[in-house]
Amino acid sequence: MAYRPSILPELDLILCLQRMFAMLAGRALRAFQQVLCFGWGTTSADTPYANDMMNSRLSLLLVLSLFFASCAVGRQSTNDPIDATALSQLEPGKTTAGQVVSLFGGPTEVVQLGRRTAYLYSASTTKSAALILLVFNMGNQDTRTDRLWVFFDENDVLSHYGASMGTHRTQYAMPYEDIHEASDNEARDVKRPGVVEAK
Amino acid sequence: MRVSLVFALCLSLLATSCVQFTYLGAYYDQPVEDAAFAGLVPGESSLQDCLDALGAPHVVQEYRVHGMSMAWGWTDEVGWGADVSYGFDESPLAASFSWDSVDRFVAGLVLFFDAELKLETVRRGSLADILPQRRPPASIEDIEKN
Repeated sequence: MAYRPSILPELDLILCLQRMFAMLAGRALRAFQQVLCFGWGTTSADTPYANDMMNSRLSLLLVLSLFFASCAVGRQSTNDPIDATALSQLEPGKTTAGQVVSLFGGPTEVVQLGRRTAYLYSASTTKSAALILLVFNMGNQDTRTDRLWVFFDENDVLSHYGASMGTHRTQYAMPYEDIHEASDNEARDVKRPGVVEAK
Repeated sequence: MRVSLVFALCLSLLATSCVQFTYLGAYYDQPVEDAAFAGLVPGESSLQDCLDALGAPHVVQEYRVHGMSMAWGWTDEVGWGADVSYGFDESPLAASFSWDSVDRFVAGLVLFFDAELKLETVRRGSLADILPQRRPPASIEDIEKN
């Protein structure tokens, strides 16, 4: 079974960003050290080190702003989404396996069920989002799939079918967000041709 | 002075990334709602009733040669994680520790259908526990015999 969502695809990106921020943080520490030594209240006219001070403060602010704003997003897709508008052409008792293949292409999987057979058409989309603050990070991964199972009798004529369309519902989100809201799903369903009709 | 020290300590933690806390969410497809499942009755509901109520399954397998099992699975998990790493001075050695409470639990539902494609049995729980083992399809002899 491959139903174990993982954040591994995003790990390289996160590690890369962390290394970059760690390098910048080293510079920030030096800047911070200078600021501590010189004092926060000093103005540009007060000391001969004024320009260094200003540069140090700017570096520190720049790096700190990066800490608070860093984020990463990623998207992975497997197969093209299923054409939901073509579902209306499936007629149990009439449509043949050959016609189904003409409509949807080669299946992802074929299963033998005694004298019957079933074809699976599937696609998936994963959206990952991460907020990286180095010490505290947040990440979320949302995977949704399109699935169409078509069942054929021993004469290769369609007997049953079931479809679930989900790839368009995939969201970039944070872990504290509810990404299964019915109203949100409905709004996304309306935008994808054939999904509302197929329900 | 004390504030500066605390600030410097926090900043040093940021710089080395030696301690990290993570808040993680993992979602895989939509959970099957109880309401969708409630109308399905073993011995009465047909394959098409189940497909209409629950949508397309994730897995379909042969069951007792002419029957079939269908499985739906989903993950809806949020949890915390922590990473601690430390590099030893003048040594190539480094140590790290990772932990997270995201349970990678894949909840699921498996329906079994008899040769007439009527709903026979229902199982709910962890998909790893309730999903029948994958087996090679029945041979022609078995199909003829049954």
